[in-house]
Amino acid sequence: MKTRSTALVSALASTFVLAGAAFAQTKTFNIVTGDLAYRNLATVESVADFETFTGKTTSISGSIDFDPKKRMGKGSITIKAADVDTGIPLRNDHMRDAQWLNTAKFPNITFTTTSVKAAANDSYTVRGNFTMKGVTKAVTATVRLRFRAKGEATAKAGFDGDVVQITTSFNVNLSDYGIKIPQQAVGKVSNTVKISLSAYAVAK
Amino acid sequence: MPSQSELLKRRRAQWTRRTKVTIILLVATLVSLGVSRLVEQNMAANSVFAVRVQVDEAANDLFGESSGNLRPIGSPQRFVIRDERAFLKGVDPNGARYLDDAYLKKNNIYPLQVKTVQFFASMFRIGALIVGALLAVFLVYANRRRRELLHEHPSGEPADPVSQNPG
Repeated sequence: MKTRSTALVSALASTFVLAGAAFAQTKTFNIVTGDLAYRNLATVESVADFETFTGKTTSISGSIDFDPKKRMGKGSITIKAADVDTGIPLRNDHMRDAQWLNTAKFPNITFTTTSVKAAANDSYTVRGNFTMKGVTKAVTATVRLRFRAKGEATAKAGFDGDVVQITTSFNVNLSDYGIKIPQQAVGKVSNTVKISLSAYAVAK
Repeated sequence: MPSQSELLKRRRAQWTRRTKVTIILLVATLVSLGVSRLVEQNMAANSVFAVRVQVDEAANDLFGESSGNLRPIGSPQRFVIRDERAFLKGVDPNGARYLDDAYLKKNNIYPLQVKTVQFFASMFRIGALIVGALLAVFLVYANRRRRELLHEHPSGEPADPVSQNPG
């Protein structure tokens, strides 16, 4: 009887240990900032009759909870809207205006996941809430997430810890976010813009 | 005070001058239409299908050489750029050459897009066609007025067509 109870306790303990180990696989990866921020890139592309222009920034922050074994996760990413550089200072000023992004009132563009489904290879189908200029809309995107455990490669790349690289792109309509293209900008800025992101995140 | 005959002479000269100026402007408009087309074609012929890229050094270290360490900034398009140093080796799956964004930024190059040239050229041509049409209408009117004045007698009566055309 004693032997049987010991076995039961042992089995339960093992279950808890295994469950704990499984839970421990989920790590919080923080988007690299500071000296490593240059490794990130967020772009917004407008394709209009007059020209195609791309605004870009490395001012990205946020975190991702990710389990590389189960290929599950969630996260939230923020882009500092005022830092998006379109290549022309005057256009940057216009973009920050109340008529466009109104960065004084709405400094951040955010994406927060609501569901993550693993697809082939490193791909994931991610649904989430995209917020721009204070308006939140549901967005679905294909995200590529690559994982590299801490080691020589991560150290060589300048990262201290496990690393994930996230890349994605999706289209949004500016009109859905309360941005109406003024008459003088018609043909210069498209209503549909492509938002792309490539960012590295580290878990220590 | 100038005589009727003198006034008529002046008016004839005035409308003759207007007709000549209109013809010159019309010819200039037509020439500019052709020149705009040539400039547009020349720029398009010298353009390069390329995509701006940023080198992602970490990708190679982390995921190997084959992972692709070039991050596109926007989609491929035709640029008017002659500086060969702005290009990196290779082409993307669309056949677009890689345009080094760091080089462009360092050298303050904002490459002209062919579609911008085409947009301006189209706008110019539409404007030139409108101006050309207005000039043509004015030319017809000016020429008619000039002919009327040639036939007009200093007294204000139309001149005798026989005396105007003795042959």
